[in-house]
Amino acid sequence: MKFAVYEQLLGVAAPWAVTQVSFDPARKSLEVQISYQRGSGWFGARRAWSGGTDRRAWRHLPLGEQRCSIRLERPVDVAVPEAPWSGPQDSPFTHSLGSRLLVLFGNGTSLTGVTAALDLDPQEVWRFKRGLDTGRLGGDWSSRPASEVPAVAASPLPQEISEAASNLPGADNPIWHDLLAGASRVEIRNLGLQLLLTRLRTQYRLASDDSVRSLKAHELRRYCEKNTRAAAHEVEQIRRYAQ
Amino acid sequence: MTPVPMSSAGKLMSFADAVRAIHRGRVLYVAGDESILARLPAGQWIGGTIPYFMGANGGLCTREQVFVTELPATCGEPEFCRYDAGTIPQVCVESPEVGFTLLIVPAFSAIHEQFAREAPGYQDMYLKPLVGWVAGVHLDDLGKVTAKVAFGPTGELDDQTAVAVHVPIIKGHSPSLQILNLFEPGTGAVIRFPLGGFSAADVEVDGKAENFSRWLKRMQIDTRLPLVADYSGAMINVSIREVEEAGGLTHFYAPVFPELEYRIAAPVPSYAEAFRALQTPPAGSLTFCCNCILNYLYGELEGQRIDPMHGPMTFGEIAYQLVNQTLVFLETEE
Repeated sequence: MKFAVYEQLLGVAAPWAVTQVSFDPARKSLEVQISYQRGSGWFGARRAWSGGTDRRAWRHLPLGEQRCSIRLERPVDVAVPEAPWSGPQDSPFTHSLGSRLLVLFGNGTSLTGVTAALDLDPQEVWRFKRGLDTGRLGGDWSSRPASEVPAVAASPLPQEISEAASNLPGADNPIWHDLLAGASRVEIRNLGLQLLLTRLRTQYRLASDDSVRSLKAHELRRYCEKNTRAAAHEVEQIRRYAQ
Repeated sequence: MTPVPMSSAGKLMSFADAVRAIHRGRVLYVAGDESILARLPAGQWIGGTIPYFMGANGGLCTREQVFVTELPATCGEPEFCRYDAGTIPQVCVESPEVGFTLLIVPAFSAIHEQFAREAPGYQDMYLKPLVGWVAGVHLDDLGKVTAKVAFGPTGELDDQTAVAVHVPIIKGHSPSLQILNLFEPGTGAVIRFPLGGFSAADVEVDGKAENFSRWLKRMQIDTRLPLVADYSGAMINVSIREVEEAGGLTHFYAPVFPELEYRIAAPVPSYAEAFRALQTPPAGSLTFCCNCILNYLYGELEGQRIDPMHGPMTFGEIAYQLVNQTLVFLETEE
């Protein structure tokens, strides 16, 4: 009962429970310990287990103005739950926070922008993005639906680019995935686009789930948005073949 | 888009003329021997050491002149920066939204290696033009002196940091970064480097494991020819620096990457003729140009003219990422 409010806020349900909360007002940081409960004792009191214990920690979405971390404690024979407040082994972030980052990257927010907006450690954000790019991180980041994530404005575009951007196929158009998969007829002459496409194609090939592939499609489209003049030859073909 | 005629892309000049150019307050980038760069006054310029050039009278080596390029009138207020191995990953983030960055890196330094290995993954890489070159030394001075860059606002020379100028371009114009590469992949074996890096021993040649040094010797490969990889239609070179005996390592002037396939380049009979045959822009639109010292040496370009592609012949070229044996140039177009 003591931590019922936190369980409601975080979406923690049996057999998991919040067993400890540490708040450091000076550092504006909140650490929430979530533990596995094998069963309840007298009067519903929570009972801890005995045996081998695995502990993991992830940075989570902020709670109010506080940085929030989740510390998970479980018996070694119990799997890590696929919950918004837990995360993959190699990730510094929970599924919820990872999903938020994917949306921000997909909207064109830079690493610097993401770090500042969510008050994250730049090294951890870089490590997370690197994990996505190399295929080490993937899996289901959709535990928190994108529609629940408030929109974050990407960097404002100069007027002329904004106008051109509206003429590009949407990021969900198959043309971008065809380009990334090397299955498109578009002739690429722009040097920056050739080099970028080579990098993105490698990352696309290594991607272990559709959300990361979608992120790569966003990155490719964003290049074309920013370089409509320099890549005019390619953009014209992309518009033509996307119809 | 129409190339816009503007002031000359660059030319060789004496120390005295370079001093006058600096005192006029124009934004400059300068290439020349350390003995001259060290005496230039502080001002709005960056530079790097190298005594090899392609000038109006052809290729030459000189310690008595410097190659000076002045930024055109379509450029806005520049920002001069210095980077070390820790901060260089931010170079593209700090580049203007409409404009370009010119970067000079000292050869064989930690920042040179960092840039060579990691630049393809830098934040905002490829989104904004990043052009430049790797400063070098006279070949007689290899191992005796270090390559250096010069930070004009203070006049300091350094062999461990890079210098850059971020240049915004006025509305209605845009920069275009391009390369002229003489080399196409040959018809020989496909080579993969599982570990990547500046050196390789065990590689895959047409899918079979080989020691690269032994394979090069057995096949009698002309190691003046670079490895060529196809980057979605752009041919990018990696030049061979040294082949160790007895099945040792092969060393390169740029890193090879494990995700790419490479071929030894097809031979080029005459480098000068091949450069002249490639389509080059009108001189008036050029904002920057550089070429490779290996093209100067292997192509015997001393005394040969490649108009209008004048500039330093460097220890590496920067066309977003590090490239070898490539002519790199930047145009500003309307």
